[in-house]
Amino acid sequence: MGQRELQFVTCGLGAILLVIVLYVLRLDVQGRRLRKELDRVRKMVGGAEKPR
Amino acid sequence: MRERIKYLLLIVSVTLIFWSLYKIAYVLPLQANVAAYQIVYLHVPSFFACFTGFFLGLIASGMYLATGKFKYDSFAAGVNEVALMFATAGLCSGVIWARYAWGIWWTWDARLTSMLLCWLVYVGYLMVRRSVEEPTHRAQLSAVLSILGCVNVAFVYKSIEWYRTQHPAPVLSIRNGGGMGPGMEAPIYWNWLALVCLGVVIAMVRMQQGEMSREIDALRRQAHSY
Repeated sequence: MGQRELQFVTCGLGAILLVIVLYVLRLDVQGRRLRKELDRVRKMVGGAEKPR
Repeated sequence: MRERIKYLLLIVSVTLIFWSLYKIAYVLPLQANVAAYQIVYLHVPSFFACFTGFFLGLIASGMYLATGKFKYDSFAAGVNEVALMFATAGLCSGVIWARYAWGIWWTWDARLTSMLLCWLVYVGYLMVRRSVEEPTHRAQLSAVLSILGCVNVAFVYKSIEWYRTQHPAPVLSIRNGGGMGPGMEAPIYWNWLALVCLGVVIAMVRMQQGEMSREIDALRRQAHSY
């Protein structure tokens, strides 16, 4: 395999793995944000329930 | 139990992917008539994993429309999003392969264009899910879109047989192809399995996030009702 072909093969395989890794990282960030939001809303609702 | 399955599938998937990369680099024979053919070992499985996801999304969407249970909607959303990720990965690798093999990044070939349209339909699916607030309306609209999108998936799958254009004809023997040497097809199926395992793990995480989102919405509605 020539140098140019090797570069393209690496880029092609790397692109697939990169898309997967980026998506997983995005999912992780979204998960953290959702957990924080869930905790915040639970506290808010818990606080709202007390006066009743 | 769910966590254990997730980790097990993740280990299987990552092991298979690294094993496959090793085989691609050192073990598999060189095939001179297809340039940069090593990309095919992940390009084709990406699309197979993507079609598997869209097909599961179709079944789940149909189940949602038949039963009205939100767990099917959540499953459809998870698998369709993961399948879209695999479609993106497949398109990106295809574009790079095309640049090497054809000297161009993209051509408006029937096979490539149909896949791009399919990708756009599912991007639309995710946009619909984000733009519609009311859960039942959102689930119904996205279920219909998922079913319509899957019709296009069938077209994309068959398009490489129907159209004799720039994209190579099928290479796998199960699709009456014959472009690969002996022993060179098996890694494609192993990679498909690896990506499907990875997709299942990601879809499970995505479904958990969907459940959290629904809980947040429900708590917010509860808070507004006080």
